[in-house]
Order: sequence, then structure tokens, then C-alpha cells
Amino acid sequence: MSFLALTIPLSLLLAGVMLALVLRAVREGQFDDWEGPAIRHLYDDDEVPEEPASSDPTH
Amino acid sequence: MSAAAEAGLMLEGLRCAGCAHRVEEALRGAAGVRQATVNYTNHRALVEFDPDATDREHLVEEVRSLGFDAVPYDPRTLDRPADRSARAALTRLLIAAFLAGNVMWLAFALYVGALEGMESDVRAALRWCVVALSIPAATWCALPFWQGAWAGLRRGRLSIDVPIVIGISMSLGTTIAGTWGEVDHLYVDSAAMIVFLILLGRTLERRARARASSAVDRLSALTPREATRRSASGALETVPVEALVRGDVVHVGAGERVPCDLRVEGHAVEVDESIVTGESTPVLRDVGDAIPAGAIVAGIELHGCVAAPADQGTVARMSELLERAQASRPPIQRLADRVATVFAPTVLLVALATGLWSAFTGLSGLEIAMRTAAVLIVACPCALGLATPAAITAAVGRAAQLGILVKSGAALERLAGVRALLLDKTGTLTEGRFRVARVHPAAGVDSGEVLAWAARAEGASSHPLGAALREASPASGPPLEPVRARPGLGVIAGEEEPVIVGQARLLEEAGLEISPELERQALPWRERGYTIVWVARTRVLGWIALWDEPRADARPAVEALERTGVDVHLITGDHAAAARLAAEEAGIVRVEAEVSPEAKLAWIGSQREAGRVPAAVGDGLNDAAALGAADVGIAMARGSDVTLQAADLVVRSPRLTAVPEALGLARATLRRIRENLGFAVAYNAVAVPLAITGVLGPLEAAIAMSASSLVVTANALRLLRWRLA
Repeated sequence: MSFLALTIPLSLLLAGVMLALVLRAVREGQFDDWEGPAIRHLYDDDEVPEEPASSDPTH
Repeated sequence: MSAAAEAGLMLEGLRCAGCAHRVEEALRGAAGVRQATVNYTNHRALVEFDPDATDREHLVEEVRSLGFDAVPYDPRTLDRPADRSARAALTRLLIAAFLAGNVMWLAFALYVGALEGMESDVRAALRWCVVALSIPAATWCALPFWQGAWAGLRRGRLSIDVPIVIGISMSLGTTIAGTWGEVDHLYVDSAAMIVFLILLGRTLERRARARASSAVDRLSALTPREATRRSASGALETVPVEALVRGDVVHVGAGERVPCDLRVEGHAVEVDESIVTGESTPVLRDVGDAIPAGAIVAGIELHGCVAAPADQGTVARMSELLERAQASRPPIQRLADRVATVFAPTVLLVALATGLWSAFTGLSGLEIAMRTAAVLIVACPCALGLATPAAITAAVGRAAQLGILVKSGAALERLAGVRALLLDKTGTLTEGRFRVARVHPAAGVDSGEVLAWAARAEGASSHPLGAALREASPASGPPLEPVRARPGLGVIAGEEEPVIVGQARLLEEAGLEISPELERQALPWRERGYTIVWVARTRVLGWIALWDEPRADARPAVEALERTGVDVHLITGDHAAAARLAAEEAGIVRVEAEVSPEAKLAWIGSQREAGRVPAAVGDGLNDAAALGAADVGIAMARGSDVTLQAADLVVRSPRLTAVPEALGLARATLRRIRENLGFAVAYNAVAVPLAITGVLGPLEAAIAMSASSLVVTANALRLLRWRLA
């Protein structure tokens, strides 16, 4: 029984850290554009399609 | 009554076609609203209203009172609210994934424990962990469902969220009750997993919808946001596109996109106008010619005068048309819409009946709850609601890529059934431009000389034959002056020894005699439908045969149409011989010439009576009546005119093969819609009985429900890759 008290919180904590990292990436807008990055290198530097202004401070 | 104003609204919080239908009804019922359409696929509402009676703010209020949110939009700010809500949805999904994932391994441990034996206190501990993880999943993660259900109930309506939240609650309730009561066999993982799966389904569906409707956004994204303007002093400055007004002069570098509709100044340029025509071979645009926004300049820098501000230009009008088409609903959808709105109450009744029946057959309380939950979750009409709009949206987007603007979904549905096609000649089967087919010099004269004199005489003429002669002999020398035009006969140009170009009668008037030999050689050409132009100076130099050549792809287009069971009729007001010649070249066997516009309408009526759905293809100018009268009017557009009123479809590219393409795409679309509707009905017919009998548990029900929506959407998205076989 005592091993459960250690392993369950530990595994939840571990998964929680991963979740937090992914959520931070979402907030930074890394998942806003799922297609652009794959073709972005095909554009000239000055033609990169701008990402929509996503610096909303409430997020 | 003042002119109607129009507002676009981005809707947030729509969860199924039923929601879209409710918003539409509410908007239509609102004071001052004349027309409203809501597209579930791209979550946009298009409202036409009386600006004296209401305004955008009131419309937004109306939507909010239903429990949804609305943001007025214009295409340039389009992605922002959508992005924000997409991020919130993704966050919710990831947290649900975290909770459901952990519930899953705990449930697996419990499952193994049930088979191999497990101490009762360990089992209880694991079960309580599951309960602790399931509660936030069923509440916070499922918040959109709770909100949707509540918003509907407040207005006295049962939305599809009601069965879903009841299903989730029942799953959670059985898990808690079973854990509390230390029941032996207990499914503990369903609540968290159901929430995760439904959220996953909606997220994937949202992304698919975004892809289907992106054709419109892509159009506006392809026009630059800044332009280089030449000020009065000649200095160049960079200004936002919105700042440009009619008459401004802008410079566009080689390889760059044109910021707004321009008229060429200074020198001719080559441009790639594929954004509007779908045809990427660069075309030559001379000084004074119009170039649409979004075209790419090839070769050298373009100087142009602004012909229309960005928000009134070709691309803006095209976007508007596309959006209107995607928002419109074909008749086949109306039935599905009605079914979707009565679905939720039906599902609740069926679930209740299932519960009662299970109790009657003596199942335990927990089993009854599980079975009822499964019925509630499996029977979602989402697939039914998505079946048509997803296909229409994808098809309209694909058509735009092919250079075809579709004005409504209903037109696509009608086009699929077309069996007879009325084809106009000039400007439709042909480009409406004469070309030289043959030059026949008199004895002792060089054919180049005949052409050169003709071209010089026509040097300043705007007559279509003149343009053809100049084109055939571009380096013929300066135009002759002065020119005396004889309308209907030809021209006489030059001071001494004037050149006469025109009909034989004009030569006779000048006292010149055409040798019987030349006359005899010209006769068969005239009889075959060519236009014969005589050229003379002090004597007859020869004759030139011209014709309005069918488009290069006319024959393959006609063959493709005939192959798919459509009878192609060339019906024109033109002379019989000319019509026959063009028809022969294009491989058309059914020809009627010298037909009046009234007779065209009569022809359309007779085809309809014979049960052969008629479509008319024209250039939208002289045959607007026929385009309007036919079941489907297709206009071959010239220049930047995309809003041809009478037509249901506007072909922007100069290809006639766009017509069989449009027809093929329409048929494919209708096929997809039928498949989708059939699948959605079959899904419910199979899944609901399985849930009632307990074969499908709540978890399998959630998988099946999400999968059915995805199948329908994926099937519709196949249209984005459609091409003429």
C-alpha cells in the first residue's frame, strides 16, 4: 500500500510537468499554424507569411 | 426604405448544425434583419439588414443571448478570434488527455487486479484516484458541453449537448457510486475518456473545417498589405494598401504581387493572373489594360494607376462571392437540418426508454446507467449536420482553385443534374477575337505585302478585324493617314494611292475589278464561314480570310462533356456558315445559327419540358437572359468582371475545359453529399440499437460518435483534391 502513496503522485507529477511544458508551447502560439512551418523554408526571407499578431497579453 | 447593409459575423461556440440553425432562425427573426445565413462549416454568419432599424451591435447581442459569441469580422482580422479560441480548445483537449491518460493506466491496473486478485484497500485507493481525476475532466474539461446545454435550456431548447452532459454525468455518477459502495465489477474510466474523445473529435473536425474554408482566406492572404506609391514629387513611399485611392500611381517590382486592381501605365508587362483565372501562364498586359490584385508581375517592374481601392477590387468581390456560396444551403441540406433540430429530444426519449426497458429486464442500477449513457452519447447528429456543408465548402474552395467561382451550393446541386448544354459562340466557344487564317495574294504579289498594307491601313482602327490584321503583321510600318472608315464595308486609308481594305463592294465602288480567278478561289472560304477581306491599292492585291477561332481546348472540353452524357448544342445568333465552321473545329454536332435571344429562351424551355436539365454557357453580355433562364448559367468572364449577375457560375480562366470541370466537380460533390448523408443515417441506424442492447459501452459510443463526424468530414475533404479524370 505504501508504494502506491509514492508512485502514483510521482507519475502524476511527471506527466504534469510534461503537460505544463506543452501548455506553455500552446500559449506561445507554437500550435497556431500547423501547415506554414512545413513550407516556410521554400519562401524567400522577406516573403515569410506573417503569423497573425498573437501577442495578446491576456493569454 | 434605405439600402440594405451587410455584416459578417464570426460565431464562436457552435457545436453542431442544430446550433447553426438556431442562430440563423434567431437572426432572421430579429428586428430589421432581411436575410441571414449561417454556415456551420466555417462558423460565419452573413446578415443583410436595414441600417435604420438595427446595427452590428444589436446583431451581436442577439447571438450572445442564445449563449454563443459573435465577433464582427472583416477578412483581414479574420484569424485572430479564431486563433484565440483554437488555443483555448487545444489547452482544454491537452488537459483532458492528461486526465484521461492517467485514468487509463489506473483502470488497466484495476482490470488486471480484477483478474489476478487485488487487496481491497489497494483497489479502493486506485479507484479513488480515478474519481479524483475524472471529476475535473467531467466538469472543467467538459465546460463547453455544459455551457451549450445550459444556453439551450435557458431558451427552452434541447441542444445536442444535453444528451452528452447527461451521458458524462451518468458515467461519472456510476464511477463514484461504485467506488463508494465497493462494487466488484466496475467500469471506472468512461467519464474522463468520453470527454477526451469528444473534445478530440471536435478539435480534429475544427481543423478540417478550417482547411475546407481556407480558400477564401487564402485569396485575401495573397494580396500584399503594403504598396509602393509614387507621390506627386516622384518620390516613392511605402503605404498600407488601405491608404491607396483611385488614381494613385504605384510601382510593383518584378516577382511581386499586385496590391490592388491596377491599370497599366508607361510600358506593357507580363503578369501571372492565376489568382483569379487559375491559369498560370503569364499574359501580356498593355498600357491601359487592367490587372487584378494578387497577380504576380513577371520580368520587369510594373507601373500602374489604382483602378479600385483594395476593399472594392476584384479579390474583395471574389471573396464575397465565395463566402456567399459557402454560406448558401442547397435544397438537399434542408431535410438534414430539420432532422438535426428534432434529434436531441428524440435521443433523450430513446435513452429514457432504454433505461426503463433495462430496469424491466432486471439489470442492476449501474448497468442501466451505463447503457443509458451509451445511447445518449452515441446518437449525436453531428455527422448528419456536417454531411452537406462540409462538402459544399470544400467544393466551392476547389472550384476557386480551378478558376471557377460558384455563387451558391444550390447551383452546384443543379449543375450535377445538367444533361443539355447551350453553348454560345462568340466569346464562349471562341475567344471573340478574329485571327488571320489565310492570306491569298493576287498573281505577282507577295502575301507578306498584302498583309502589311492591310495592317497599315487598319493601323488606327479599333475594329476587331483591324486588330487581327495588326497582330498578324506587327512590323508592317507606320499606320496610314488619313483614314476614311466605311462602317460595314471597310476602310480607305492613305493620301496618294490609298489602300482599300474591306468588302468586294468597296473595291467596286473605287472602280477596281476583282479577277474571276481570285473570286473563284475566295468563294469556298467564304462558304465555309470565313470572313473575307479584300486588299487593294492601285490594283487588287489579294484577299485575307479571317475567323473567330474556337478556344484551343474547345475540342477536349466538348468531348469531355459528351462523354459524361451532356448534349452540347452550339446555339448562336451568328451566321450559319461561321457557326458550322466553329462547331466543326470544336467537334460539336448540334448547331443552330441565326437564333434570336427569344428563341434561345424557348429552346431552354423545351429542353426543360423534355426533362433534360438545361445549362447555358455564355460570356454574360449579350446572352444574360439565357444564362438567367437556364437551370444553371455559366459565364465565361473577361477582364476583372466577377459579379456577372445572371450567372450561377463564373469561369475566370480562359479555358473552356473549366465547364466540364465544373460539371464533374458538381457531380462529385453531390456524390459526396449522398455518401455522407447515407453514412450518417446508417451510422445512427446501427449504433443506436447496439447501444440500447448494451453491445456498445459508453466508451465505445464516444469513439463511434467522434469517428462518424470525422469520416464525414474526411470524405468531404476529398473534394479538395478532385480533378477531371
